[in-house]
Amino acid sequence: MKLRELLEEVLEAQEDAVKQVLHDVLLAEQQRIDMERPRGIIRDVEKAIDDQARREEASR
Amino acid sequence: MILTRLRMRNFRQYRGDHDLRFADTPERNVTVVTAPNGAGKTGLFIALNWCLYGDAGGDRGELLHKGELERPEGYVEVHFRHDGRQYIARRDLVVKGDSEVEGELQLDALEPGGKVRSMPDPSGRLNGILPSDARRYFFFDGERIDEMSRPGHEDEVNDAVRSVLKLRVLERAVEHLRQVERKLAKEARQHAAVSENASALMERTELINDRIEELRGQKQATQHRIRQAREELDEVRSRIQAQEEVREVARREQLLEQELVRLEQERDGILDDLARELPRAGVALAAGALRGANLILDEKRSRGEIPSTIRQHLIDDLIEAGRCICDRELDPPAVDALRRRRTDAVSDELEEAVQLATGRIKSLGESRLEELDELQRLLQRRSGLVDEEEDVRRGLSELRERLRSDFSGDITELEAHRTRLEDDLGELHYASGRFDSDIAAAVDERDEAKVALQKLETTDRDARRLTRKFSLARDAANAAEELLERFSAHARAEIERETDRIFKSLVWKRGHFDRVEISEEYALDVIDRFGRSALKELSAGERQVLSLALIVAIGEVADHEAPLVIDTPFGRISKDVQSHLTERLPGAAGQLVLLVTDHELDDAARRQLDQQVGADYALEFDESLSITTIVEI
Repeated sequence: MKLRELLEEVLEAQEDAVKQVLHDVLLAEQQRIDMERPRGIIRDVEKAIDDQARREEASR
Repeated sequence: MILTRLRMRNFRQYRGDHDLRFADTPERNVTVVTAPNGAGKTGLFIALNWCLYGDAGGDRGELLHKGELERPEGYVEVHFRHDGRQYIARRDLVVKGDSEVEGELQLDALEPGGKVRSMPDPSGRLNGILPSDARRYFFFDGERIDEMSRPGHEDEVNDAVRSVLKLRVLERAVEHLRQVERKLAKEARQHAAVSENASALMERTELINDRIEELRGQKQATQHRIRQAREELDEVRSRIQAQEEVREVARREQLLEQELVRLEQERDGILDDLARELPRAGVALAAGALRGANLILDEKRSRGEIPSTIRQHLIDDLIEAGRCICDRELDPPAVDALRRRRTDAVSDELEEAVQLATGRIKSLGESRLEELDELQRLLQRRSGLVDEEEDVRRGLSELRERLRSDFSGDITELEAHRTRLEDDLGELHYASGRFDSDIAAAVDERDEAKVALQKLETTDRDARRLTRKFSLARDAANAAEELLERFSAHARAEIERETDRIFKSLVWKRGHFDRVEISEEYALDVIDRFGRSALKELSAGERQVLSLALIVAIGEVADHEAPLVIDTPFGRISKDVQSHLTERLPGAAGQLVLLVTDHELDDAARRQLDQQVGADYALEFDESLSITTIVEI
């Protein structure tokens, strides 16, 4: 099994909201992978979570 | 990433404009650049690294060609293809005052229709294509790469796997999501509208997270101790075998150990044959049990253990009879020692799995069994092998008993040390297994807290949002953690399998090396036909081949479309191995760029490589002007 398939298998079990948060967080992490202390990453992680929570509220 | 072109102006000894096009088709994916030492191979290597990642190496000197006084500016452009899209990476060099100023990375993507779009955050984008921390495993100095295969260099292997497979991205995601999760739990505690129950459940989740982290740390430390104990055991074995007075006993012991390895391998092979035969005969249930048996066997082998129900039975018999194998009466300390040895013997899951399969076959009835002659033959042979193994183990026990009692103090001491180490290893394996089950129990507990939190309801909007945010952080962290664990375990096994396959295809002493192993700690090892570690005995060339096999395997498992750019790839490789490498390496790598010295590659290897070469260049250095020119051959 290729790693990409493994990724899909694990993500399939997650709700869409969690997938979206994880996607945003992984993207932010990847863009800073060359930084020893990635500046602003906690703010980005919080934003990914906050954005998702607000989207859910707006769609209710 | 597939490299398509390198353009430079006034970079190092490359005065003026230079253009090199890389071979980039699957049929011809090899680019060769040949040059004498000092002519500029390393300059090309640096140009690629500097343009893409801003790294020109520690002792790089000045980058701009100083002979260019009228137009003191330069650049390097790397053109590449990724996921069907064309990109141009560029970095400029200018002189301001007396200093050389390096420009920022620019990254343009060519849109369909020829439109050029400048990418925002070019470094971030490039990290998504070929991460900065991974590129040194794709652009490397062939003569230094053997470091990865030296004993004690597991940190480098670990780093390579984590970088190329982007495990580090996942590790950081887990770490940062957990930080946010903890912060949200703290906020919830301080928020008046969040109920005490909800706040307590969040706090409990955080405590469980801490416990899981601690258990993982302890498991890792145990794995480290297992590796140390195994190394020490190998060392003690070698020292016993080196003693003059026990040479004959040690030689017989070694022969028996080899015989045991052979028998066990044959028995493993029979399990594979049975697993193949059973579905053909329609015995699906038994096949499932045998697959289970094979998995157990693989797992034990990866831990360096040998299934040894037989040893348990033998020890039980000896304890019951009160006499050792050499018929000497067992005193209480000897009985205790034997009991300890018995706990070292691994459980009999494997035998149970095989017996389960055997039982299911037998329950099929006579008429069906008539069609299963081959199965019966295999089972009989397996049973015969078990008996033979028992004889060999008995012989080994006898010899070891002699080593413990019939020789000088030094040897008795070494033998006692070996027994202690074997006992320790058994205990460490047991402890490692316990950590796994404790972690699994903690994860279950965390899931219970999650369900309980879901059931709580709140009417306050802020409290609801805070609880939801906590749940999102927790679930995303859990998912990232699961991904990391499964990726790591899966990737390690796959990389081990691929490295083994590639190493055996590249190395010439194929009969001597039985397999490549990569431990949970990423310690790389080569096991010889006698079941012993051969890593320390590898030549520099063999280590280089092993490292290459590892890098190619990691790239394959990561499913990375990336070039292998190797400076001086064959410097330490003998002619025979060169031929193997030039025949097989182009197929193993997506794209190959070889920067070779003019005498590095022998004629046969060169002819072999020619079938895959799509771009062939020579570097010509003009001594009078100190400039290098790239000449297409």
